[in-house]
Amino acid sequence: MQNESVTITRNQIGQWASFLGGTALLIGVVGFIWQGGLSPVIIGSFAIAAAMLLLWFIMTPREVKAFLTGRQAQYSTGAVFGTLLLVGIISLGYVVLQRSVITLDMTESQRFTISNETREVLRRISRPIQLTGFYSARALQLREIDDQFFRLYEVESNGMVRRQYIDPDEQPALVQRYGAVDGQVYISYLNEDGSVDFSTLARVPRSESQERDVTEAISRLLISGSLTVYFSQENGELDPLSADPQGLSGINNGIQESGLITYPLSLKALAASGGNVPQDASALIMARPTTDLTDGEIAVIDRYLERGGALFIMTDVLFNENSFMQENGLFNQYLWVKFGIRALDAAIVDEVSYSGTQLDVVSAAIFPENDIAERLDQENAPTLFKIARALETNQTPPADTPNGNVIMSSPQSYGERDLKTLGETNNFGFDPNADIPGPLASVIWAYNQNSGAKILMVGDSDFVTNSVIQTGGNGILFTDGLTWLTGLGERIKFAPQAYGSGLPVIFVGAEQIDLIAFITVILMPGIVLATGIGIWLRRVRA
Amino acid sequence: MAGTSIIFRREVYQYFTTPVSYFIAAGFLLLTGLYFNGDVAYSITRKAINPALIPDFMATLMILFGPLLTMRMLAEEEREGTLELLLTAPASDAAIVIGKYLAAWFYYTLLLALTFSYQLIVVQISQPDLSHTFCAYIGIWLYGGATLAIGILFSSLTENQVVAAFMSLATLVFLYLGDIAGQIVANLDLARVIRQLSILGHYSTSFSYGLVRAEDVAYFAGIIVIMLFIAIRVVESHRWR
Repeated sequence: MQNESVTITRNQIGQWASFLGGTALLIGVVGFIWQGGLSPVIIGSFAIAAAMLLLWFIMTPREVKAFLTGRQAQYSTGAVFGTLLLVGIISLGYVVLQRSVITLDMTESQRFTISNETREVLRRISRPIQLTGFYSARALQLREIDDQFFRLYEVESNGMVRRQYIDPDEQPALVQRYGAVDGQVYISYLNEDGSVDFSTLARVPRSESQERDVTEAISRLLISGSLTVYFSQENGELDPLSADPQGLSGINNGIQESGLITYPLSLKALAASGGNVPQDASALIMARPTTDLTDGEIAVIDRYLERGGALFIMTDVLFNENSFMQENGLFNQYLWVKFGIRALDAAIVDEVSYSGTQLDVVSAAIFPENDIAERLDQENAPTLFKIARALETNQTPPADTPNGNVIMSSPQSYGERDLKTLGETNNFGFDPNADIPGPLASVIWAYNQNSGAKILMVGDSDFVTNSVIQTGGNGILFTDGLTWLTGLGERIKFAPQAYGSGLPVIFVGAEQIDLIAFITVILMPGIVLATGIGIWLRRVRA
Repeated sequence: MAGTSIIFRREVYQYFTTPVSYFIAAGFLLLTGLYFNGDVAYSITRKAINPALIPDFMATLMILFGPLLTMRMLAEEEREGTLELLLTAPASDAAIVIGKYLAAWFYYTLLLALTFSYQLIVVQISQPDLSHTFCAYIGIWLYGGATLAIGILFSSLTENQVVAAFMSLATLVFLYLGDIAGQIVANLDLARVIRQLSILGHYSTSFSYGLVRAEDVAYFAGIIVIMLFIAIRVVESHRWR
């Protein structure tokens, strides 16, 4: 094998210096024109250009002189100007094409194409909306991916949807104002002066489907303020403003992020004054009141349901006297008569489907009859209730008032009736004479087709508290339950076919894997290698 | 045009009669084959195969293979003194450079075509998004064209193949890493400018995702045209230097 020594001459250094100097000068000039002023990069480019051109002059002064005055100058100047002109033309064409947003979506699922559902939503925009993204230099790639999608919205909405990007490293005050982290996107209306209307600000969630995330965020913004959810208060309920583990601030914030307004409501006060649940109430959430309702309070609820109200009841196994929805209590009887649903004075004990103790019940069966349970995934994200109360639906419900189960325990479960012993000693055991054999319902619903009243009853309240709302399917149960009650889903949900599903997972046997490995790693390179060796041998022999 | 065709055929003939071209192709197939198998084995029952798997991998491979395929093209001619001879032939400087470049691109296209066999396998074991795959292949074909054009330019600047390969490798690495400029540079504006110039940045967030953007096509076409234009001027300079 022949050794090849590399010798670098002054001439070569001069050549490279001239090349690098010219390139740096070009970058500096283009950058200056692009940004319309000096920046550290442009100054740096000019400095490098000056240094390199000086080096060129030191190394090959004659060449520089010839470059400036001789025959070479004519040719090289022509070449340089020709190159600069070409670079200028191509750069201009690039910028024009970049601004004209010409794209071709070649994915089968049309991932980068605005769907008709989204176009329909965009047509309803009457006030400028801004998508504000927080991207530092570290999130530059994410910004590029998001931007090519957001600009489709801008174009499709004729500028009604605008884009604004903020560097969190440069503008920490805005980060504080938005409560943002790097890579997060927010949506809001714009005021007439172009400033952000912070009262409408909401975070855009991120999932696999970017179009669904953005379009649903826009839809929520469009309906924001039109749906109001009330939390019943002053009867020992869980606190929607509390950030404690037992508080409900998580779901309260989540509801507000979805564009819904939340308010507290006192049934006691309404009953005392003869008032009604406000007309704008899209749903009333009763998050585990502790004592049973009075006649007056039931009358308030009855009037609300008669006009098509929606009630989200969470009831625990309570060990106190006159507890909320005790089996023979007034409110329980009212619901049984009017809607064919009720709570039982029994705690579910599941010997098969549980987590931790047999009182921590994991959903064993889910009934996706309506939107409430459609997204619940029994296999991967079951719900978890800590001490669940058994519920019951009437198999012969009142006329025009269908009901049904959403979640049930396993057939090996039972309803422990001896709540006194359970509460005092934590002892439980199946008593065939007293206890209720499983399976037992822990989430049920009822719907009055005439009035439009809807009720969703969950035999647990802990599942929505801050400590366990993220566990399994608890969060989905709450949000989809509320969505069903308020009718929010009909206003912001899209047809599933609007978004392509992910590509299927592959299933290959061991033999197939071996065959694939043989073909791709041995056979194909081997054939090419053998051909090369054959040519080499033929040349050697020749 | 006739000159370009003659140079092109001469170069392609060389590719097919030189064992080195086959060794490069075998090495290329071995690497892509290993990568493909690794992903298939990992994906079983876990995830779908990335439709742009091989093109994405080739985006990295071409940083190495681009200089390898082009380093000898003009540098060797100059070192052996055959460039002077070629310049006296009835072929213009542009025909020499473009003919050699097209031959390299043709060889690269054949390498790409060989990797279609992986897609045939994927079709047998899964239901891939073939149009997405096709889009990624278009992107990596243009990307490869740009890397080869850069390689040709450096091959024209020196008579030393190693220096040509090293310089084009260094340039390509810089243009490749520009895609992750944000991880290196804290200034967002500077990172954006670097990424606009980056060769990978015009593939990784568009073609790789199944999206063709006019600006990316313009970028690759622009790189090819500019690099070849400068290479032609460099070859031309032999006449008046």
